[in-house]
Amino acid sequence: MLQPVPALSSDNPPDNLQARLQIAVGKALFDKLWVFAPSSTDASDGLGPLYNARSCAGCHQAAANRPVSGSRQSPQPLPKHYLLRLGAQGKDQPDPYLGFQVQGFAYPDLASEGQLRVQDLPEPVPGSDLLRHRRVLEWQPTHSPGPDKTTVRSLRRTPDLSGIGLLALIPEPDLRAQADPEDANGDGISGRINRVPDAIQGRLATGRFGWKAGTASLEEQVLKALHRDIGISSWLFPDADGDCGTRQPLCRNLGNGNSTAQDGFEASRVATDALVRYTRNLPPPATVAKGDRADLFQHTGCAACHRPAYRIPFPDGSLREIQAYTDGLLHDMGPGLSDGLQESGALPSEWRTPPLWGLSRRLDQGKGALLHDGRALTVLESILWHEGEAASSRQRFLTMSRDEQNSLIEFVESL
Amino acid sequence: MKNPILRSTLLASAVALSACSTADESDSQTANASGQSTVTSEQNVTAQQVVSHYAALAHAKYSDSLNAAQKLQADIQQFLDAPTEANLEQARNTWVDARVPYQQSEVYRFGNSVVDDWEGKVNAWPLDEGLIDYTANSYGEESEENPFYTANIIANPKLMIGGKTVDASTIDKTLLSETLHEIDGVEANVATGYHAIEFLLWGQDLNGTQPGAGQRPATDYDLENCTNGNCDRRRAYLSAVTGLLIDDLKDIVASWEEGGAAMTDLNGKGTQGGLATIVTGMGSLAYGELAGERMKLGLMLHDPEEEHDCFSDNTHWSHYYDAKGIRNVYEGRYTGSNGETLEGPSLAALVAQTDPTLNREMEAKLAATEAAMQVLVEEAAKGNTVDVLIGAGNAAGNQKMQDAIDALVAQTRTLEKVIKTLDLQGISLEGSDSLDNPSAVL
Repeated sequence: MLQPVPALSSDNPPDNLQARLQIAVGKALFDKLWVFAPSSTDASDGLGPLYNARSCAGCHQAAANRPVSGSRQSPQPLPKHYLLRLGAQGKDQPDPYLGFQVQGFAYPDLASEGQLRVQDLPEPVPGSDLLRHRRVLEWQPTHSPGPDKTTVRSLRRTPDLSGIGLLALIPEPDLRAQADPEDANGDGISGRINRVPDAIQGRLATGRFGWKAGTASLEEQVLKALHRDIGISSWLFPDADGDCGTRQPLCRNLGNGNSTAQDGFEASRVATDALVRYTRNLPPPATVAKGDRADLFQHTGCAACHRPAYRIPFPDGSLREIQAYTDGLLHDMGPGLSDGLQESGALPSEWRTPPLWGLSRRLDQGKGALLHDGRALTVLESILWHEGEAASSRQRFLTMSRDEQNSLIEFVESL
Repeated sequence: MKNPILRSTLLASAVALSACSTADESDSQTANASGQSTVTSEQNVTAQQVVSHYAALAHAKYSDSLNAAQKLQADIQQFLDAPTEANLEQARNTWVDARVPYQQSEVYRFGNSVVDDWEGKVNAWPLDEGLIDYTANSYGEESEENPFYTANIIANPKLMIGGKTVDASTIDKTLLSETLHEIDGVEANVATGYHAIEFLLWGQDLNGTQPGAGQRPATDYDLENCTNGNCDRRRAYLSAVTGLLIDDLKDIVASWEEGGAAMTDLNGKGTQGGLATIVTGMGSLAYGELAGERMKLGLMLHDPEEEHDCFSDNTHWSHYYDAKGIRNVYEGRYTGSNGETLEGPSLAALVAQTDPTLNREMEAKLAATEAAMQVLVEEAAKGNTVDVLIGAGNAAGNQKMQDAIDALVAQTRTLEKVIKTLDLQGISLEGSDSLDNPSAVL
């Protein structure tokens, strides 16, 4: 069981409810429905021109963890908590027409960038008699012109934010000690730190957030999401046009909500500070692993990347353990999981180990939306997609007895 | 789950309660000391009675809200029949009256998911006003160059919303509730409800942090003498959105009747679960929603439009009656627009039976909040409405807002003691995910 997170001593006035009120304000901003500019509500307008949702909570909600409804065998519309990331082939650049991602909603009288549908097609897993499902995307761009014909697409689900502020506290030396980019120990696993430009510090730093560990700080991650997903500008991303592409002139002429009352942006620094603070304080999942087969998790090699725990220094000076089940590093997951998109210095087949904590909450009777695009409905299906550096772990799993496999799955489902 | 108090008329229940006088000594002392809840504290109440009466109060508040909205509908019709300034003023006054019972019902929104799911349709805030009607151009040159500047439903029989083409040639309830609703999931409902009506009656408040509310002319609805164009469509919008409010309020009244969704949901939670619902509503509205979202946010940003009833400058009353709603849920007593009081077994009485001192503390905190809110109301009467009080550089005004926030926070702190005393589990107060773990601040 996790210990309660202790306080920042310098930020713990006698009346802690007052300090916490900033977090409450942050939650209000997280839940806030942004509206189109111009409106009377300076502090609430600036939505779009293109947007995936009107609020953070519009996607970061429990429903994001449920499988796509309807039959897997026929194309199903995707709910808005999926987004389609776009990138130039072999280059870390957005699509010139549609920007970094497809937005399914738009400012009045502007066309959205189209709706997404998926179909999950069964295919055999090499070396076993089991099936897994490949997710096939259907997207009819309704926006013309675009996208560029060489643009690569990658479907992404909404990540769980529980305890995300704690992941930022994993000490740099511990991450370096865990990394083994040249596979010096010969175990086939070569996790590496992704060094990325830190937009706030203005230098290279360790990437910790996003599917590709492409963002160094939580603040940058939050403000980037605010900008691209909702279309709200802030001190770090001052362009009021959100994710309009460079060749999307109509989009670039709409809904500017930047105002002097908000420091010249659509969301002021005071507002984004509160939003970031709320996000940083989202509690970690308070679940305890069940089942006595944690040894199987070790034995298969799952734990080599889904590292059960790190000890992190808390602001009060104490050292505490967080059980996030991630090493925080990038790993090559093989061609099956490759999305073809070059992003933030990560190869198309490289993914940051996603934390498994809170998985029990994200599953409903064993079913959920797992992996980066939600293609795996169950822990088993998810395991079957693990290739590349994880290939030998999957092989060990496949050669275990059925009972042991079930025990391992049960353990993972309980996290 | 049927309780006699639920079934009785307002008058009969008041009589039944005052006729009951078998209180033990400690309860009487409690009642005298608290001064406020003499009648209820003299009862030996059960938790079950408290929960049932909580539901009865909900029904009373929503019925009252419906009556007030029907009066509003009548006055709006009168205004549309004869679009004079006097009739517009009359409709505005009735809108303000209609907010009185509704704001007192907001405490039911938290803890009752049926109410919360419904609430967006009637009280959504902020509002896509530019989607509804014309807005003043105060956003600099970039907006002036905007070819879609007039993209609004009233001006455009056909337009794209959320990236989909909408046929808005006929403005009616179906267009607003179903067509717009389906476009963007539940979040699309920012074109309906009290605030949409408010915008249509007042127009934008362009006074910033200076005194003054919206100044929409009555002729915006005058077919003979139309200002700002499309008066026929504006009339249709106002009629439709008002009718929709009535429909939605009828739904929520039915929901709090025996067999209704909200009532069934509450009953299904059991007695302790019902008590948990009551305190969840009280704490969430006071802390996360009112102190946090509606007051602290606007104060932090010094943003005049964070105020909740921004077109009408009615925010002070909105906050006042939110707080009052919390208090009357605790005290089990609601005085309706017609002056009649519904009173019955209260949470106050239940707390007093276990810990009279704590009940006195809670009563004192609630009274202190009401006093702080009263200050805001009195300031507004002097022209210092909430948008003025939160202005940057208005230190005295800022402090008055902060005092009200502090009172709400203090009230929440005591409510936490109530939660402990009643041994309620699984409470999650809005905006304070871990109040029991007061050090979780990164």
